[in-house]
Amino acid sequence: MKEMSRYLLGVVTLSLRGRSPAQRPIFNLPIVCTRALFEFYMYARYKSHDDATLSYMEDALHGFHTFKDVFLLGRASEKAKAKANALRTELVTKQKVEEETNAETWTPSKQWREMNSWWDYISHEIDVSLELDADLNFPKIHLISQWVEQIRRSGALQQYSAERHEQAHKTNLQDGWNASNHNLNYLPQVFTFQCRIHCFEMRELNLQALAQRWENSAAACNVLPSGADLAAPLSSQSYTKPEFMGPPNRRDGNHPDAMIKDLRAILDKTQDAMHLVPIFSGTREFIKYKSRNKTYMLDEQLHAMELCIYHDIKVQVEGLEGERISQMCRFTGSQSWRGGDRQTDWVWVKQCPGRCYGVLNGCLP
Amino acid sequence: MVINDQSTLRVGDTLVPLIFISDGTHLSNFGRDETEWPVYMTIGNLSSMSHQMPSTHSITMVVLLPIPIKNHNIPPKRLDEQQRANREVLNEVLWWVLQPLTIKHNPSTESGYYNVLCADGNNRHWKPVLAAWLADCPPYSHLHHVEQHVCFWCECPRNQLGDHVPPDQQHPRQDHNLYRTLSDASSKAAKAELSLRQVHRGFNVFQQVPCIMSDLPKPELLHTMPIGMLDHLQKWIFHFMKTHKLLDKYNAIWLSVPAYDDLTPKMSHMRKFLNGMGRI
Repeated sequence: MKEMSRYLLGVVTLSLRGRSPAQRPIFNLPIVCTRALFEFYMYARYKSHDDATLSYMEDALHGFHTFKDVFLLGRASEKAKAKANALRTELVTKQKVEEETNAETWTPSKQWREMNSWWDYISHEIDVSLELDADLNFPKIHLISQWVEQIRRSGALQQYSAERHEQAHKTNLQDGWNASNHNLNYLPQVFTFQCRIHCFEMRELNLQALAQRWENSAAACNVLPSGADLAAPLSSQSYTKPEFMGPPNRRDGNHPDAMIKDLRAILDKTQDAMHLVPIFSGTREFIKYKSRNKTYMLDEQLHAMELCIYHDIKVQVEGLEGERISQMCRFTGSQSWRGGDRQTDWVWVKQCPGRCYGVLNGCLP
Repeated sequence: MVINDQSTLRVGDTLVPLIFISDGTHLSNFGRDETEWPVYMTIGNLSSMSHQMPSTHSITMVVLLPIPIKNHNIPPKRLDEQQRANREVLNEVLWWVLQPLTIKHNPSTESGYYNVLCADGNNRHWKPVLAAWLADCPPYSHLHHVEQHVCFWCECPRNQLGDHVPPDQQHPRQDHNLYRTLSDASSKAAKAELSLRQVHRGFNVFQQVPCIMSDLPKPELLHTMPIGMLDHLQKWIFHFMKTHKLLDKYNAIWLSVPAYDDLTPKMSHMRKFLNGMGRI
């Protein structure tokens, strides 16, 4: 509906345009009414308000309420429709009686005229009856009339939009439901799933915040915390010699395709000592094109780094009832993980203090 | 945000306005028609920018409310009774959730305050206050004990909901203190007064929590405008076109609207059943 609303006014105007002067007064009303309501909606979405915008909102709403009666016919309830139908049957029987009594005296043309006027009369009566019974009394039309006062009390409306928690439904419940076995006891499964995903994402946020803080602080050349502090390595291989940090498969697509291909090839063969040369050149490419810190890095510095590669990490998280659970996240090699991107190895690089801190810092795939 | 507790805070204390959000969601149309009614919680100390970003995880699910059975399964005679029972169950559940906030019988200076380790590494002495409860229109009537299809800010009679109310002629605001005294009194006159004001009797959890109850509901943009009023408007226009025999032209213009971004969702991942669902 939100997308549709962008076009509704245009479509209504276009389809009601070009009428005869007699029709124009009626056909302009829906356009005016729609425009007033949209104006009100647009003002309501402002991120900040002052007295002027609030008075515009008032005016727009007033305009809507002045002309809304044109839509009364569409609001007729079932009861009103039934009543109108009863009226129609009554009038039609009356008309038939009159037709039969005057059948001999009327000429065909007169009969035709009389019939037409009867039909006009009937349809008019039914419209009037429907309009009298219909009303526009439903809560939401009343709620919007309170918005101006509410904005004065509690600020712009954009912050109270439900879009955020409609989205939270998806991450909290619907994803878990899709991953569950849809049985009667699906709720514990949903909670476990949600807890797991949530823990990992919070951990990632924490790590990001941590890295950010270090980058910002003056002591930027601190040694990166070793892997053991943040994640317990299960199987790690460390090279005392120089290698390289896993290439981040960023999704922005800025880097050349050839480079991704190369680095992927490297990744699959990291454990092979024979491939140190491509790793090395890959790292140089990474530093040159992708690194956030553009400080030039010497080859010797690169060689002096320690490297750990983790094939899976184990994160201690708190369960629903406060117990400690360790969640495991394995790398998937070249296969995709849960239909998304593939998970590659985690690589921690231990760096010597120096001004090149953060050169190898890239987003973890 | 109007909170009358602010005067009792000491220097260095942090006031944390709690914002609750409740909204039903549909899990599956097949089988048992699974629906859940979660309540989310967030705090008002976050900036609205980071609050709106899904990646910041600013919203936490705290409870799943019980969903009453559908009304059409109940004989009309017992409908009132069932609805009363539903309200009681709902309030009982909410009472468990909001228990830390409720009014204590013998309050000390420290009651209602907590020491919490915050994300920046500091310990804070903070006081949570119930500040807002966002929900769609029908659930409010359950939460606030007002009858269905009634405004939850003012005492507008049901047959005047559609009238335009100028800002200087607003209806009197709902006074939940009065409702509480009336609800506690068991006389007939109080009962009649309550039903005149379109309020249900019985235990209401929000009356046990120090908050301004008529300030809890906030104007909710999405459910009121795009999928509320604009939806109605579109139906009315459709009816107008139908009565004036312009429906063909109206539909033709809609079909000629170009498919921009989200207007027509892309269904490339869905499989098309060319021969109908029966023959796969």
